[in-house]
Amino acid sequence: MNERRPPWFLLTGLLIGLGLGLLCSWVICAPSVRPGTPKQLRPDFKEYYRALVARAYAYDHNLPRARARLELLGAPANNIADTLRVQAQRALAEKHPQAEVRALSELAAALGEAPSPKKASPTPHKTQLPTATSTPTQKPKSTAAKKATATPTPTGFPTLAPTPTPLPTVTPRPTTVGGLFLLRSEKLLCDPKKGPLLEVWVKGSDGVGIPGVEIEVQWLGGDERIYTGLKPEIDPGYADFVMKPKVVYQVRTGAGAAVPNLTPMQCQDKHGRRYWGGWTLVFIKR
Amino acid sequence: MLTTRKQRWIAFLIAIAVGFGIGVYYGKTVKPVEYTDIAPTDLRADFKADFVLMVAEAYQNDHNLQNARRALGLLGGDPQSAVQQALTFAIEHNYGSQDVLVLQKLLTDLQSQSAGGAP
Repeated sequence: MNERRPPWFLLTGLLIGLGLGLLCSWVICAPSVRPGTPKQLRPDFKEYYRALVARAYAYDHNLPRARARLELLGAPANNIADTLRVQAQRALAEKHPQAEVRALSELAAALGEAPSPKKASPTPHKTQLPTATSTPTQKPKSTAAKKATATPTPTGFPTLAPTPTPLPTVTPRPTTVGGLFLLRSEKLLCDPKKGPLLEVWVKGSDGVGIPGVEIEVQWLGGDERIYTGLKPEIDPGYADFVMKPKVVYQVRTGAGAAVPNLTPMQCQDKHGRRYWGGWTLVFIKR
Repeated sequence: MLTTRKQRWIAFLIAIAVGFGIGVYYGKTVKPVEYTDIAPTDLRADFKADFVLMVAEAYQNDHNLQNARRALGLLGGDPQSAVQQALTFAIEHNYGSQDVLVLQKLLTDLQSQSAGGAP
C-alpha cells in the first residue's frame, strides 16, 4: 500500500530558503551606507534643514519651492506650518539668531495663509524615494535626479523664478526678555473672525510693543509657552493663543503675577447668533 | 527506494533555492533596508545640490560666510568643493539661471576669502 503524505519537506525547504534570503538581504548583504532623502535625516538635522528652507525662502519668497522642500522631510502637508511655528518659538526661546526666528515665523505665516496645492503632479519625495535596488545614486545623472531637477512641477527646485518682493522691514528684536510685567487691561474679545483667541500685548512704558517676551499659558493638564514678536505684521509685542471652550486658563508673563480664570465666553453677533469669544490682555513692562 | 530518496533531496534543495530567491526579492525590492537618522553628508547627490542651493540663497540674504561655511561643513569635506559639485550638478541638470547665479556668487566669495587667507 502506498501512503500519501503531504510534502512537508518542500515547505520546510521553502521556509529555510526564505529565512536565508531575508537574512542575506537585510543583514549580510545589506548596503552599509546608502545616499538617502531628507526624510531620513536625524531629527536635529531635519530641524536644521527646516530652518535652512526658511532662510532660503526669506531670500527668494518662492512658496511652492519652500513647500516642496519641506514636504521632502515627510511631514503631512497640513502640519508643516504648525511645525514651523513651534520651531520658531523654540528657536526664539533657545536664543537662535533673530534672522532664523523671523524666517521661520514668516514662512509659517505664509504657509498658513496659502492653501495647500492639490497634488496633481507627483511630489518630489514620491518620485525620489530610494529603494534598496535603485540605481547607484552617486551618479547625478540618474533618472530620479533628472526628474527632480529638469522639470519644474515635480520639485520646483531649480526653475521657478524668484519673486523679488522685499522682506518686510522689522525692527531687530532682542531675545527673550525678562522683567516685571503688570496687567494693564483685561477685556473680552468678541470677534467672530477671531473666535476664542487669547490676545496678549506686551508694551513698554512708552507704549511700544516688546518682542521676545515669554508668556506662559497654563490650564488643567497642560501648559504652553508663547512668545511675542512672532507676528511682527500685527505688532512686535503681540502674541496669541487659541483657547478651547470650557477650559480655564491662567496666563503669566515674565515675573508678573498670573492672570487666572480666563476661559472662552459666549458672544452674540447683531443677528443674535452665538459664538465663542476670547480675551485681550495688555501688559506693561515696569 | 534510493531514487525516491534522492528525488526528495533534490526537491528539498530546489525548495530552499526558491525560498532564498523569494526572500532576497522581498528583502531587496518589496521591503528594502531603509536607513534612518542619517546626516546631511549621506544625502543623495540631487538633495545635496539643493542643500547647497539653500545655503547659497540664505547667504544672499545675510552675507554671512561663516554661517554658510558651517552649513556646508555638514555635507562633509571642503565647503568650496561642495559648492563646486552643486554648481556642476545645477548646470548639468538645467537649474534656473538665478539658482546658478547664487551658487556662483557663493563659490566666488568662498574662493576669494580663501585667497585672502581669512579663516
